[in-house]
Amino acid sequence: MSAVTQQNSTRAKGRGHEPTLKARRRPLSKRTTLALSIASPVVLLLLWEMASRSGIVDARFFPAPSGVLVALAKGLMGAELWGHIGISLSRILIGFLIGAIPAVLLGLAMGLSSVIRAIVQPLVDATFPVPKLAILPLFILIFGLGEASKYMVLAVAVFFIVLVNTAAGVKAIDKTQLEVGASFGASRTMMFFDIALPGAAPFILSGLKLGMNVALLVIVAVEFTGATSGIGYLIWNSWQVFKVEQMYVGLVVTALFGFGFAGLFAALDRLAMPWKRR
Amino acid sequence: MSVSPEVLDEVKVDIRGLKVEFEMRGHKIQALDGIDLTIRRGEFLVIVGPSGCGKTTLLRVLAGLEESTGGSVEIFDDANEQRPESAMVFQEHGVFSWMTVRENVAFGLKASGLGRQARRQIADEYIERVGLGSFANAYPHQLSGGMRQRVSVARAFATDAQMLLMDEPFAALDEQTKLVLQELLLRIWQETSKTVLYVTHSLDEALVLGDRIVVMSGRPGAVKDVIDVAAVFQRPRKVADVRSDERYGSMFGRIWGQLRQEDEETK
Repeated sequence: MSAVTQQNSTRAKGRGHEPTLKARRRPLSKRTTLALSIASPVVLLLLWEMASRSGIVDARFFPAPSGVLVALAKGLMGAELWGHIGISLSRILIGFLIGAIPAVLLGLAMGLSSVIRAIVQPLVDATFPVPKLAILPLFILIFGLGEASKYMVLAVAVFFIVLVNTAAGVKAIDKTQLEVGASFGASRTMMFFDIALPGAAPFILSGLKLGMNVALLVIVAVEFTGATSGIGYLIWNSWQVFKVEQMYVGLVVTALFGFGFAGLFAALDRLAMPWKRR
Repeated sequence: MSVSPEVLDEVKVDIRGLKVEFEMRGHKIQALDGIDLTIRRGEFLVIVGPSGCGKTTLLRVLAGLEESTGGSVEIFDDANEQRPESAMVFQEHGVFSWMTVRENVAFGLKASGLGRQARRQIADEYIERVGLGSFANAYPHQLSGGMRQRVSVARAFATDAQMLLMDEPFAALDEQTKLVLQELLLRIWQETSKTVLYVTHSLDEALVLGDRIVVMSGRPGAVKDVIDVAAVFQRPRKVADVRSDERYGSMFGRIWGQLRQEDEETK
């Protein structure tokens, strides 16, 4: 807190010596940016903590962050929370892979072949707008109440987003580069894996990132009602039995999933596209 | 030059009445209208002409990137038929940004089915020949435009193709880099004695590099004149020698006259 007020006061002082416009336009130093971006969530949490403890907000709905943190720590020491985390992660991973791998392959084929594009594109256009959660009941009919229906809903959600991005990625490759392949007599396999796949890699990776976000969203929703385990179930069940702190623990965990995936994909970007490193 | 005149006089490509038609937004565009042209084995043939005259289209037909709509193109294989028919050097964006210099140069070799070890060895040899020895593991974004075109040239030569098709490969480069690469190209070509078909809009480049110059007229493209440069400027050549030769000016004037006449006709 004190660091922030000090920051403000020096900025205010500086403004007095220079024309206002110039001072406003000067970019923040790296240290200031870092300090501010650390300070803002900390300040928010502190305000929340005080508000909750002093009774300004209803502690039953907004338990103090410290209480949530304690509940989280307790959960992490027991087996139950880890069980939920494990089952959700494995559902996400399996569903993601079932959806993403065929999506990349079909997307590359669509990008390279106008025949395949002509066949697949109308089907994609027709089914893409269907909210993926809406097909859960259908999938439960087909695949039963077990894990398979959950994997498949995730897979479908991931499939579309990765497919569309991959096909767009191949189309964005400079035409000359495809012609280089053709003029050197490259085989279909080489066109696929030496040109289309790496050429479309930036689009594919952002498609996978989006797909992972969608997977997280869908798994939580699926577990709300159709499961007796997983983070979504934990959140839903905590609400039903009014264990609000527990509910917040679930929220924090899903947020951590999001952070984790973002970090994972940032690493994957560097690993999969060494030519992008500067 | 190491190639004997008999070999040089053999026919490499025989083009008769070649026509290419494009469909563009419902309109039919006649890109090439009845091209007759014989390319001799081992010669450096330069095609010049106004932009849109179809010179690139001609090259693309030979590369198999464009379908002809009439006439015939016969390509006669060299004695050693194991080698690929042709390799192309593009003006720009021809180098794969996701491959290192070595992978780029080895691309054509991989396409013709060579093993990893052999690919690497041949690629490294040509990387050395175009003066990129210390950049084998660099990515294109780390190179200058001229260096990227060196990669393109190395990739085409490395395949040991019977014929090289070059589509204004140095057009986007600055004058100095262009000069250096022209010298490099002449040197490597003289060492390998391949058939080269070189498209350019630069008369200077045509005179400096070519054995013969084909002057094309535009819309629809047809052969207007063929000028024998080899008879005037002997091989081996240096770029600077050709430019300082007293006959350079009159040759330049002759082609320029053709093109200017062409320009006035279309108006």
